[in-house]
Amino acid sequence: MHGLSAEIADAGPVGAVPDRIRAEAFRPSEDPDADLIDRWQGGDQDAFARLVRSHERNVFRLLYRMLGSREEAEDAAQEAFLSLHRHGHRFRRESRFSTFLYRVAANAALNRRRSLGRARAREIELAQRHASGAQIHAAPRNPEDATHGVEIQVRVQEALQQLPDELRVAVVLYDIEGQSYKDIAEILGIPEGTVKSRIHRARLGLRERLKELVQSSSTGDKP
Amino acid sequence: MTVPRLDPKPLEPWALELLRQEFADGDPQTQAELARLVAVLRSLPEPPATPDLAREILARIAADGSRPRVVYGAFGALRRLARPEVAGLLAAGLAALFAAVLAPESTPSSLRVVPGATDEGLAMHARRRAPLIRPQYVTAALAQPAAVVAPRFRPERAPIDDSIDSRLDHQLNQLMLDPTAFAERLEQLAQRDQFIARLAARAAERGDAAEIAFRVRDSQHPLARQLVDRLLRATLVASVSPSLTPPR
Repeated sequence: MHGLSAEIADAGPVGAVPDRIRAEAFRPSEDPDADLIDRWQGGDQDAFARLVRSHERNVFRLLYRMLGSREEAEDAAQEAFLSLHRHGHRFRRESRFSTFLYRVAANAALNRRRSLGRARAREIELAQRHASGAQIHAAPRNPEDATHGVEIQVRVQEALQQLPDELRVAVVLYDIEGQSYKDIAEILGIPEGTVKSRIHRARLGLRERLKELVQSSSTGDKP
Repeated sequence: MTVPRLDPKPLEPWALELLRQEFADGDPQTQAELARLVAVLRSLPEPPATPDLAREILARIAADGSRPRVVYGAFGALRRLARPEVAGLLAAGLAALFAAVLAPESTPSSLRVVPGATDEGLAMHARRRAPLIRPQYVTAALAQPAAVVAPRFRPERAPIDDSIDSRLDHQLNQLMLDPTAFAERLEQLAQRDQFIARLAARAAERGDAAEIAFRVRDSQHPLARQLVDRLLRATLVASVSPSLTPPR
């Protein structure tokens, strides 16, 4: 196994990358982190600290949307960077560093969810609702006003948590993190067509779970 | 850094196509709802995080770096051993080692019953360690005074061997060493008759059933008599016709 597929196999359990993904050559010079990676792999720990500072928010955001809890996301972020630090020498620069890091983070999230189990996930969910200090508003609202509100966040987060892991990670990476199909395909080790299909299924699942929100919104949008 | 996309816009062509495939008419209402959902997802605010998360991460990494790397080192060593060239050399070395150990001339002297030896500790050690006391050694030992053969029966497990015959040989050796103790142990055996029959058949196969019967008959234990009877019958049958060796 060569290249990115080897890195992905090192990083986690998801399947091998199809040849057509691997075939698209990546030039290491295109990576904005190339210089820092050079220095880090040469033993410069300050360079690694700078990499952590420049990517920690992205990793945390993905983990928060995946796990639904700030504490869990922070713990998982620490684990992800720890894993990166231990096994960073395996990164062979056949993808962008950020893509590789997302991969490590996605695996950290999946591993953590498996270890948490359903009961713990439910506890987190309830704690999150309690912490928000708000009752879920059942009445239709205008999302233009409410998108930034706590209720909407909580409802979206709850709906995300109810999706299967493979659908949630795809829709979070695309619709929330703004990653491209190609990058998501590399991160998850699946073809781009499968990425699109999973995003589509995730959206349909979210639409069902957020029916009141999106129905009222769409009704309100009509002239 | 990911730039949040706040602009609500129509669904992507692939999403519309998937919708069209799923809902025959494309369902404009569903399209509008999904577009709205995507807008909501893309405008979610930044989740709350600890301001010094990076510092906590780096502190944890520093703490991890100060720990002993025994486990990581062990895994690293295993990974190196798993490389094909190293694994090949290792396998060849192990094969050579086993060949040397299993060679007959290399059998440790401590595993043999030495005629005339009086060291009880050595004899006990030999009985514990020996995977199988070979019949010829037992016969030689029986020809000697009781100094070598321990009078007290010590139940021991049959050696790990994939051959049933080897296990039966081991039991026959135990029988010859101490018939009474062996018979006492037989009392606790559930399928005693079948076991005795198999022992007798094996002794007949080996050709020393009569010799074993001769040794066992000195015992006054009732089961010893049954053993003698089966051994002699097996000897008789085998002598009449080898093909009629009693079934086990």
